[in-house]
Amino acid sequence: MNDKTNDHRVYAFASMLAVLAGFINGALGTGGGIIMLFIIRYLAKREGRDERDAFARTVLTVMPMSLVSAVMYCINTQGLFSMSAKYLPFAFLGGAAGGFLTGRIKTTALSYIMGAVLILSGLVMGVRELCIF
Amino acid sequence: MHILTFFLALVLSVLSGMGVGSGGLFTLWLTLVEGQRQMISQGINLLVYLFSASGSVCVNFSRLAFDGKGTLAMAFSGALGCIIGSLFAKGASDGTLRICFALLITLSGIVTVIKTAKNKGQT
Repeated sequence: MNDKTNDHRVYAFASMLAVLAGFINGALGTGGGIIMLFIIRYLAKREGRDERDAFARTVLTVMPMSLVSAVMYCINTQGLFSMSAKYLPFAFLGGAAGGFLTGRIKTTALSYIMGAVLILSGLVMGVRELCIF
Repeated sequence: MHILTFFLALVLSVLSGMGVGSGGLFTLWLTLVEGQRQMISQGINLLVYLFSASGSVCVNFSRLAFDGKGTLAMAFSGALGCIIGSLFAKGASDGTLRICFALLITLSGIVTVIKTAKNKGQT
């Protein structure tokens, strides 16, 4: 098996994982980015590229995905954009502030707190749903 | 409508812009506190993420690296998956979506903690 065939197989597999990431993003409104970041970091490592650029590259793949999901949700849910509109200026400003702060402050503690909150919230939500059933 | 919801949208967008991620916490808040339906909460969260990412991209435009076919192929594949996923969400019950969402955010939390510990160990 030559290198080119191997490259095609890796990219084909990465594209399949991207479909999965898109499915999760579309089905649940979040989560695609984690899978995409994993794929892009793996490809960057394989190609000898700087993994720190992976986050920037992930944005370029996740944004179109989220745009497609958002359009589908707006088509399927009447009045969704008008319900969301009041939060969007805050979201834009927050994202811009976050983008400015990237690399300027350490995120280790924040990541741990976020992880813990997500685990707890997920467990509480899951147990609540299963108990109601 | 809670005033805290606006504050949370801002804070989570900052975290999202920094790359920490919001993990769907806004969806959780909208369903549990605002009493929104799961699918509507997910849709609002998506739009909030889009605007948050746009803000971050505007500030960091020069850092973005487009590597041609690879990025395009994955963006296209991802978009295809999104169409299928959103059709699934339309057909699924609120309860099913909530259980799947709970599983997703629990796994996301575990991955976040492990990834952070791994990165900290490498520095």
